Amino acid sequence: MRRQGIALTVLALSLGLLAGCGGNNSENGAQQEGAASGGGAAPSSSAAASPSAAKEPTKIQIGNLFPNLDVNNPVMKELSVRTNTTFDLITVTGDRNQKFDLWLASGDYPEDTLVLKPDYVEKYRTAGALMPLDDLIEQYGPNIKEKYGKYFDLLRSSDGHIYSLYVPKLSTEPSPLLQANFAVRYDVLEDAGYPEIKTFDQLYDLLNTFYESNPSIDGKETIPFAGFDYYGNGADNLSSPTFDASGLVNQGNFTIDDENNAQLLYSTDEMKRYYQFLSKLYNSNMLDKEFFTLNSEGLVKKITEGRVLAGYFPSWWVQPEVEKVLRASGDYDHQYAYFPITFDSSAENKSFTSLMTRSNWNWVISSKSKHPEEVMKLLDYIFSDEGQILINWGIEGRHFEVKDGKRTVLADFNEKKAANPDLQWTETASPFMGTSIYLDHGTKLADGDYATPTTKESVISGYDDRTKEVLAKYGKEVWSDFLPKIQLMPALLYQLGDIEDVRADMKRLQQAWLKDSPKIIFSKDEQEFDAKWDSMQKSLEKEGAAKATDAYEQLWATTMERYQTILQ
Amino acid sequence: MSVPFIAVLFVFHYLPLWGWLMAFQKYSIPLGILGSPFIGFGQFAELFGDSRFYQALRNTFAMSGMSLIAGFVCAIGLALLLNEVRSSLYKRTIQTIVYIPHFVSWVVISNIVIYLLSPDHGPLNELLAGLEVIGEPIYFMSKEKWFWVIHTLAGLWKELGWSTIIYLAVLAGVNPEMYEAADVDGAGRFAKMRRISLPSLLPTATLLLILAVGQMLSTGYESQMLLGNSFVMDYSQVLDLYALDYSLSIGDYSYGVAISMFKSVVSIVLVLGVNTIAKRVGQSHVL
Repeated sequence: MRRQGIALTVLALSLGLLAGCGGNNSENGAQQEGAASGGGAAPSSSAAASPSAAKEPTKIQIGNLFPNLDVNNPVMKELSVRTNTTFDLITVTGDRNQKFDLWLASGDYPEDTLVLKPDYVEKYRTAGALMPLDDLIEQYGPNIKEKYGKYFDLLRSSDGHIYSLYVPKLSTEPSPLLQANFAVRYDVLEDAGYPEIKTFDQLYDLLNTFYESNPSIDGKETIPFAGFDYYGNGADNLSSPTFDASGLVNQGNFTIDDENNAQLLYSTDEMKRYYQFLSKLYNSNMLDKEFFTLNSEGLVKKITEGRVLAGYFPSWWVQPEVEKVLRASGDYDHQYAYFPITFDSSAENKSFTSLMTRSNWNWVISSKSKHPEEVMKLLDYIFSDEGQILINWGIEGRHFEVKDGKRTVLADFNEKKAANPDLQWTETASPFMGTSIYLDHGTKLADGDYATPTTKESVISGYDDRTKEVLAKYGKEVWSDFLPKIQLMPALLYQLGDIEDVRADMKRLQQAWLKDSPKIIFSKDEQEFDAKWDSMQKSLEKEGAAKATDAYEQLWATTMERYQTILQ
Repeated sequence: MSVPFIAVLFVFHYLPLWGWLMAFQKYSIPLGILGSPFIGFGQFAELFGDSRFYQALRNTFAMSGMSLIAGFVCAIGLALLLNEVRSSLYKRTIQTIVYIPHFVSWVVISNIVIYLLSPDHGPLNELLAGLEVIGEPIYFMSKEKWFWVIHTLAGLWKELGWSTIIYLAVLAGVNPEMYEAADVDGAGRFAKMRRISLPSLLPTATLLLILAVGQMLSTGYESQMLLGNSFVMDYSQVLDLYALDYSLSIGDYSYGVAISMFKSVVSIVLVLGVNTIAKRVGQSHVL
């Protein structure tokens, strides 16, 4: 009996293992589908219209980032019919960077096209794994050229050739999803008569007043200001908030002034000022005790207990993830309003920036490709208006309809999607989703309608009544209405990649900074604060701050020089 | 017969050794191992010149040493005590309960530990406050010097039950006649435990000790990474975590190979050292 039981368990486990390995089988059945409907789809795009219906579909091997993607979903099938191709997906699982390194080291990267971050584009390019795209775009990329227009030369790499594709910023309005990151709870604002919080002094007074009258909630202390620690190293609470609070362009580990001088963020007066604010909160017992050690689960617990009044919550986290939980339990008062709070409300706030091009998951064509022209046609098709509608909206009649000349997601599909968040993988997802090839939310296509289903109306329709009420008090419709003008930049320092010579120095600097920051902020008084701040500056100096700053300043200068000639 | 096994050993353990070449290069992926420039002992010079490396080394030895001692003493103790339990149902229940944490990942264990020790209404602080031992809650995870202790206790809790298995198996194999003879001689339970059970365990324990010492530098990094935070960084960074931070995460693979070579050499020295000592004192040995 017992033996049998063990044998069965072993068998079940090994079958499970096999099933896990087989999950990526990506050979697709779209081929028959494509042959069956043949020329019936009649794509009008120049890229896809040229081959006659009789031509064999080209098999294109694509690097794919989404393990859940169903290669036979309706959008993938439609794409395959329209472009006369079939897809062979090579899916990246586990750590992406390690996988990309491994692919390159073994020469085993996908044969036709793959999606890479800019620093990996550079790595692959130096290894000769990428095909220059200039001539291909010239011949087969009419849509790419049309979409890029005057920005076309921004695609060029430092050697003058184009190696990767990503979209330009065409929209004139900010994405309605964009919002500030400093959050204040609705009931705190209501108590004070809905003031618009612009500065940290205002925020401090607001929190202090509420805290004095409500020192505890359900027997546990109120936490006026909290942070969160997504990557478990404390950095999330310190660096981005400093940029936001100072109205500076977020350049990663450095600030860059108008004269293009770089300074290490950890030594700036701006960071010191933000630390002073946190230290003040700490000494009046208003900062979360676990500010530097709390992981995201811990913070969710505190928020849902209704104890956290305000904090720095990145827009992709508390609002979409945690407030959903609050609403589900019928708690609408403990949601958060999002304000772009700064130290000096009269100074220009540059912390909301957008690149002129959105280069972060770029498409490249591998040098192994046997039919690069077909790959280029496919990528060019995605750049076309038709292609954008397909990858962003889905299929007309199944996922969206055109009402009064405007595309609207079908109510039925919306409901199903709300009930089952995984539905996108079997309905509308493609390897292009979420990469740098879909146009920004809020971009309008040639037909005057939006390129993606995320519009101001769709965002408003997702709000509950309490949120609409709070926004109405300020005369706004969505949280992005609070934002200052978006700064368009040709490049940002952090997306230019690492500099090999100083990468170990940067790591050392970062660790020195992370180690000392909590001690500075948890200082008892001003003297101790200053002493600890100065001692951190000394250790940063010792770890090579000057050398790293020079290297990045140099990188920034050469990049800017190049863009200035392009943009002239 | 043994050929396939030797082949496997060769392919997976000796063939990859040519990758050690990377430690003497400024390895870059695009150029590959054959094209990357050689820089001699540059990586080692950098490693031995880095004060953080010595800190990591100290932390590694300290935490391994503490885990090793605590693990050995407690596992042998628990096995001896369990061996004396008469009720088989009680014994099995205890065994199952102490095995469970071994199958739980460090991610979960660390969350439990952090929750237990939380200054924000964590159970331990509530308990201490309830007993009026402390006034203000203690922020355990921010105390640099306590990290090693917390880490050792967490590891002990996770692995204690599992490491008793082998000792219990040895104890089950002890010839019952020895106990019977002791009974006749009028030995009590403690005398039997001290004179029979413990000596029977010693050869196995020595063997395990030799093997464990060889693994001293390979502590892994999960527990330290998950339990650690920026307050205790100076005490939580072990060699594997150092390698992760300064090699893998920044793409400097040569440096990582240099660290791993250093670890191998030290491990061999340690194993040979313990083995020699074990031989001298007349215990069992591996080599």
